[in-house]
Amino acid sequence: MLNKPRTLKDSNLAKEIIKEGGDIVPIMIPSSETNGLGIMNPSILIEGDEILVNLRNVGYTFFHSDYDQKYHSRWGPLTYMHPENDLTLRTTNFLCKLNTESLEVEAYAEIDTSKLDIPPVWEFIGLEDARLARWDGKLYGIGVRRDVKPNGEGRMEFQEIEYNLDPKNHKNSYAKEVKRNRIQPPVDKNSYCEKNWMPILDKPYHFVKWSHPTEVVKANLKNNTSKQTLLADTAISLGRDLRGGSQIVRWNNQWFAVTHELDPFNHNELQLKDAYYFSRFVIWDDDWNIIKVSDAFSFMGARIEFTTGLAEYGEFFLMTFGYADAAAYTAKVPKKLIEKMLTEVSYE
Amino acid sequence: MNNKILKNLVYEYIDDHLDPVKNFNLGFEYYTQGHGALAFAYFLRCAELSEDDNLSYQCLVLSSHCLDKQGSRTHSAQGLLLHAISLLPKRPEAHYHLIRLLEINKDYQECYTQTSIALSLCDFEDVDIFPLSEYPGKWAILFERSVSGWFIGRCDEAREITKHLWFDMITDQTHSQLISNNMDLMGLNKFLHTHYDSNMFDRFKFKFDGLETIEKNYSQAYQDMFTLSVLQGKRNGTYLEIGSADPYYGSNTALLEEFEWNGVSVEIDKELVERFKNARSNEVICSDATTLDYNEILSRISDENNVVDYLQLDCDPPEITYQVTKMIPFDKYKFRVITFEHDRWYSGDRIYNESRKFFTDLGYVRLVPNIAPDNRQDYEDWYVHPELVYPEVIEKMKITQGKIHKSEDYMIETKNKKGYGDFS
Repeated sequence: MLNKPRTLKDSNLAKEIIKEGGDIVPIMIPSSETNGLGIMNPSILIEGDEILVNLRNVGYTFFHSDYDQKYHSRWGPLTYMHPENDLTLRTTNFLCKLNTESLEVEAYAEIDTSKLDIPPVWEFIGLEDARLARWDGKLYGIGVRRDVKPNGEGRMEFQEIEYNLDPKNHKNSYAKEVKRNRIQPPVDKNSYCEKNWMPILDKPYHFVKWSHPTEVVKANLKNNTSKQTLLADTAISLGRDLRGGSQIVRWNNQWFAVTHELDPFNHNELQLKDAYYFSRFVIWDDDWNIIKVSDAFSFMGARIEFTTGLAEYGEFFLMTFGYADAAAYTAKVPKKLIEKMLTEVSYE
Repeated sequence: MNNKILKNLVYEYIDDHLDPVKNFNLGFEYYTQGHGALAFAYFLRCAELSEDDNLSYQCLVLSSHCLDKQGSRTHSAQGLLLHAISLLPKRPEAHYHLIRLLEINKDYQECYTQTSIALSLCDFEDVDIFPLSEYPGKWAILFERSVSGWFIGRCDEAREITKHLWFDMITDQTHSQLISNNMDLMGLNKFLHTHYDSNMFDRFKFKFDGLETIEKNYSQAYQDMFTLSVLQGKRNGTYLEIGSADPYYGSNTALLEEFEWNGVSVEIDKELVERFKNARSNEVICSDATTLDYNEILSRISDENNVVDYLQLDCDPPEITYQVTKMIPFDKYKFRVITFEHDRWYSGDRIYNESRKFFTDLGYVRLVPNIAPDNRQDYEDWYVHPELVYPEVIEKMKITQGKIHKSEDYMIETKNKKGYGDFS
């Protein structure tokens, strides 16, 4: 029995965004910094006149044959192409500053983590898919790290960052991790891998740990624990789980985020592992009931896209997303388009 | 990082993200910027979406380049090349890169077999090689066949191909050096030197007194025979040889010594200097040529008019040769013949151009430009001083046309050349 994928072959929200007066801007740093490897899953944060982006750089090249899928790799249609003499998945992060008008990168620095790194004991190395948040005056990248336990246990970690990003002189730019907190999960202490907690920017140290049914947790950096503050008892039927995506921002006295959902399937008669990712706009009320969602969509038509950043920008929202684990873009999305796409949900 | 071109291509892509050409164009821009992983994503999409096999082929080959350039992903890159070959088996680009990767991985038997398949299957003539394919030409497949053949024991064939590549084919600069090295490793270095022997007497173009006594010469490209020709077989001449290397093999002064010349050689390699001292009569100085006092040396060998018959300038790299050249007190001493090694064939035009201006400004006449031991390695210019050499000699020996001058063709009347096999 084949599990056929749902395709979003024609989904291309970017076209609609541009048509409605928005924009799509590549997030680029020089290839000399990345050895031509993937830059992905960017997370944006706007504070006053400063627009920051955390940009993830990975040590693999993502192979995903799209559409007719005639050209598999030697290892199937979806493969992480590591160096053949190093199968570790390495992540480094760059802190970037965007020009407030063009939204192009005007300064950047690799985040130096050497002060707090230990020799890795698992093959996923580095802080993955860090979302930016500033609480109590401190800038944090908050993502999952798996390299400190020999079984690969993943925990959300706070990476406190000090930085200076100078558009006029690159040599003056730096970013360094000055403190690290590894947060234990609130309920299932033996959970294998915690990831994609969505920072609630207006509620310091709070996260939506799971979108649906919505679970909210609060991290405590004094003792590196977390506690569950809410577990919604409402459920809607979307066909797939809503998973973590962007940060959560306050909008019209509600909570707004971009989530992702996964559609895994087995490809053709060989049952080769494959998957599609979709994005979705989600609105919660003050009690963390999901009240509006959009249809699932793709920003630019890649089968794997992942939104990890969201920030209000006048009459727009800036959404930063990774494309095929290789490229990074900022979508400047008109609020009116978002409103048009949202529909109220019905509860069963 | 303002990048309007990239953004325009992103917009074109967004306008129709299922258009293979728009995917290709965006991938190509990322590729040219060195963002291999980003390019890879769009090339793969284009390959899948396109109904144009040539475009899909191009994307698959470029995708393999993306991986190859990231390092240590040769098996992954090979997989894409195999897709390309499956799609259009007669095109040579993917064959070549597959062969190259097999050779890099030391999979010599597979590499050799693939060269057989490519050479028998590919259409080398009627194919438009696409931009950035990094496919040098059929000769590059032959080169890989020689290398892989050598390592699986087909040494005679490897030698024949290597000679064929060296003497009959135009390759790129990188491969020229590799082939030159392989000639040496395969015991073919005798072919890298062009020699005079007494059997060539009748065909020698610039006969001089004493030519009949020479059984063989020593220089790599007839520099010794040239010097004697210009100076009409002069006996008891003088020389300063900077960069003497081996006392006989490739030496420009060993034959001059046999013509009773006196001179000083300079060499930095202690072992070569010891060999020189044991084998030759004339003086050799073991030293870095950039540290010597040439006034002192020239005062010992020049005549009463401060003239020295021959100056050899040959250090490695040519930047050093030129540095030493500028240390020679040309304002005080004059040289009848100068051979200057610029190595333009691999080091480019800078020293080549600067040295030419330098000698021209001093009044020397470039009698033979761009001399080479073959048809490719133009490595020296040969000069004479017009006040110290007979005008009729200059008239007779001067070359005014052509880019590279094979020394054998310059010095010896040619007869029909023997071929090295047919690999067409």
